[in-house]
Amino acid sequence: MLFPTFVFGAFFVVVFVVNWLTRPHPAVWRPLMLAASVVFYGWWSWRFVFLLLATIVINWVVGHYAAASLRASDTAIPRVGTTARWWVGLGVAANLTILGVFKYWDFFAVEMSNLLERFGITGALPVLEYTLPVGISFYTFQAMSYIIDIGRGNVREMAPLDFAVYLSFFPQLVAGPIVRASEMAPQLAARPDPRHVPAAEAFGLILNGLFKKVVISSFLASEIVDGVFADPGSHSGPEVALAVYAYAVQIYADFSGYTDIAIGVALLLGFRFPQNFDNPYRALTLQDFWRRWHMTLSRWLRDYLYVPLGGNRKGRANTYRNLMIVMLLGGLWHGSTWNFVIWGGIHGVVLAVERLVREQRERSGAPPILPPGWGEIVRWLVTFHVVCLAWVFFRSESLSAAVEMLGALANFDNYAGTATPLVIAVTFGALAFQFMPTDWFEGLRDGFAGLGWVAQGAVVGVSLVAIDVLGPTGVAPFIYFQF
Amino acid sequence: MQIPHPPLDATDRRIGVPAGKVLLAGALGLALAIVLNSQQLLREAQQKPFGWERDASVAVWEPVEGVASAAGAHLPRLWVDEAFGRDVADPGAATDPFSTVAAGEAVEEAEGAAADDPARAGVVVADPATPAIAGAGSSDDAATGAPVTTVPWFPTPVDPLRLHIMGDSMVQFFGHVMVGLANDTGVIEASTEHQLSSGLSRPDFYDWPTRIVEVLAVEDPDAVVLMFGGNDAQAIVVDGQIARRFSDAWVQEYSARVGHVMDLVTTDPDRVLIWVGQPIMEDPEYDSRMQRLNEVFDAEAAKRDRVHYVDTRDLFRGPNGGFSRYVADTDGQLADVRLTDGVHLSTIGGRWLSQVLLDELGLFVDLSSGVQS
Repeated sequence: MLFPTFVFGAFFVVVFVVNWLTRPHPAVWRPLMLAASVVFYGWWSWRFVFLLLATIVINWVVGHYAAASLRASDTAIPRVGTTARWWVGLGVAANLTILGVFKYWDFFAVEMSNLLERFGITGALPVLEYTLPVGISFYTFQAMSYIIDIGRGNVREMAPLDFAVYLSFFPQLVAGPIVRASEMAPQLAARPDPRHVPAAEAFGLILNGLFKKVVISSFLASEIVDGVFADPGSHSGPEVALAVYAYAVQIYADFSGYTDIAIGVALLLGFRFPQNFDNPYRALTLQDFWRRWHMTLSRWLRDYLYVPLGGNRKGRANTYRNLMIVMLLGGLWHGSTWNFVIWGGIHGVVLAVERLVREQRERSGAPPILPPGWGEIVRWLVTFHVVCLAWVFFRSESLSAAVEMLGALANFDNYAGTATPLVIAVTFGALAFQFMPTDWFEGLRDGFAGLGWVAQGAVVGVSLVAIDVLGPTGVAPFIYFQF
Repeated sequence: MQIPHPPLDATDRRIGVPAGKVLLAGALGLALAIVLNSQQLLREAQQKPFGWERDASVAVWEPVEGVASAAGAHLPRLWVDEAFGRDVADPGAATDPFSTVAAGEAVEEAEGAAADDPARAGVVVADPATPAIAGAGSSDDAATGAPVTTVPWFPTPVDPLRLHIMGDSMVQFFGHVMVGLANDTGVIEASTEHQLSSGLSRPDFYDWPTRIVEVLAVEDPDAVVLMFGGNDAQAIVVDGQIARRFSDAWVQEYSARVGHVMDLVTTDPDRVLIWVGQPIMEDPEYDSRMQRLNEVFDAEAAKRDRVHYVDTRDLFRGPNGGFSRYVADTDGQLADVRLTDGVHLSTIGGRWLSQVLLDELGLFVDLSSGVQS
């Protein structure tokens, strides 16, 4: 079920009513909310509902036994070799196996088969060709965070139905944000006051998300990005560059648009999700970018991968190694192609270089090379273009296509007419918007909150129609559904 | 734009309102959006495949649209759409673009437009009295690689062959790639367009015959590549009656529509048409439907000169003889040629198909005077 459809609108009206009527009665509310999430997910494919339910069962059972082992060992932090630690390891392995079978096996099998074929060995590894279940990377990572946090003693074991609701909760099920059990469990236990639903904030987020997805993202995709990335050789260098900038805006509008809608929908149901974006293209360093882009994945990778690897505590070389490992695996999280590996690799290398330069400058105590103001501009330009360079690999379907795209930047002819004033205005306008103060939204929100429900309904209705009018016919799935 | 989010523990109750009022505001908003958008919603319902889902949707939206239109609530959207230059035809007001009269007039119009276009004066074209492709129209030629008598047609960089590629979402995934490969020859000036979810079964959704006539009149391409069918295995209206998929009436009408489009394109004796068949699909039922459509395409192409049907099933046949995302290339290396939806082509698959189609074009057009890539 896609958010920007009337089907979802009708679905949500029913869920909203049921949610607030049954919330005081958890024994009723939990199964109904789980059922709603199953319907939402099953709208794509009923077959994968069983995979989701299996993931819920496996992780709850593992979490249960890990928690029980912790209690038996009478220690808050499991030691190496303790039973709890084995349970956590088993749970992580089970999740990675599920992810590996559905997401990574074919990549491995094809690469190995092609390698072996060069030595005359054919048909060595079977290609499974399983359909990738929507949102598998998101809910698998949430499940792993739950059992790891139980093993660390950071969260308490959840009741089976609470855990099922947490893992399958439909607003964030298919494309995040990646919500942790420690964030969700207290909210599941609480009884939100139905007299104080933050409607103004929620409607604002939903309408803003719809606008970003339906209008901005779809417009840039159809007007320049898809065409140029499919055939860069037939476009001039400036058009190719504009298409890369436009893709940077498109993927931000698409993904953060989904996140805004998810957070808004959850707010209407009485839940508050963590923030996932914070104007990422304002970043002056790549480290800053990762504090602003897909923030829930960044902190997941930090807390469950980077820190356990040693983080920056085991010397400079190990720090750089850890950064590279985290970013390469972060790339692979998005998909099983070399392009995603390179995307992660670019981020890893530049993060390491940034750290090296920063540390050297701090040690030497050298003054800034550029005068105040100029330094920020240069750092922003470098950071933004590194991000854009990496997006080329992220968006291109193959390594050769990415190389072709980069090569086409040097085209001095072949102007194909895609760089229209509107495309230029939308692309750079959206980028400029990242630097705008956000007071305006708070003013709008307070203004909306001051309206009566009739006026609020009118604003919502007219806004929905305006978004529909401005957007193209039909709604493409969100980019991050494929991850 | 990024809206700031309060922290998770934010408990600002001042802006909270009772859930009942939120429901009223939200429901009113949705209702208002429905009323203002009623014509569009009804149009989308009518464009669904014939069946219970369409019937139910139309039954829901028709009365809403009736009341909304009577009250003039549809007008704001209409004005905005007109301001944006969009098609604002009333739901259900579509004419039948496949009617014989309409087709005849369209062909004449296309012929006239092409003949009057001074830009075509310098193009070397085949003798209209001579079929451009002797023996063309039979897929056997393509399948066996038998030589096809070619017209001595030599496009050059100065006087390139104009190629236009059209179709449904399949074209979305290979059209741009083929444009790039074609342009790389140096003697082809290619362009492409596609319409998602379209085909020949539902001209009320997208009227391809009319669009094709427009393209022929304006662009006057020398060669046209068409690919339809992915959305066509659904019931269609024949003389006001709904014909069930693959019933005799359906096959007769669909064949006539395919033939009509082929005739539209090849009315100009200087133009050739390459009709692309559907590749193997992952879903066996869907695949068997596509095979039946391919039979129609093949049969209709065989009746016409200058229409060449290209069978793509073998091109994308996997190691197991059926569908596979991964197909070995000539070096034995597995390539990811299909998307995960089991239907569309990846960029690599699009490149493979495009090369086959260009090779096909090369059977009757000499492409050697360009800069071959």
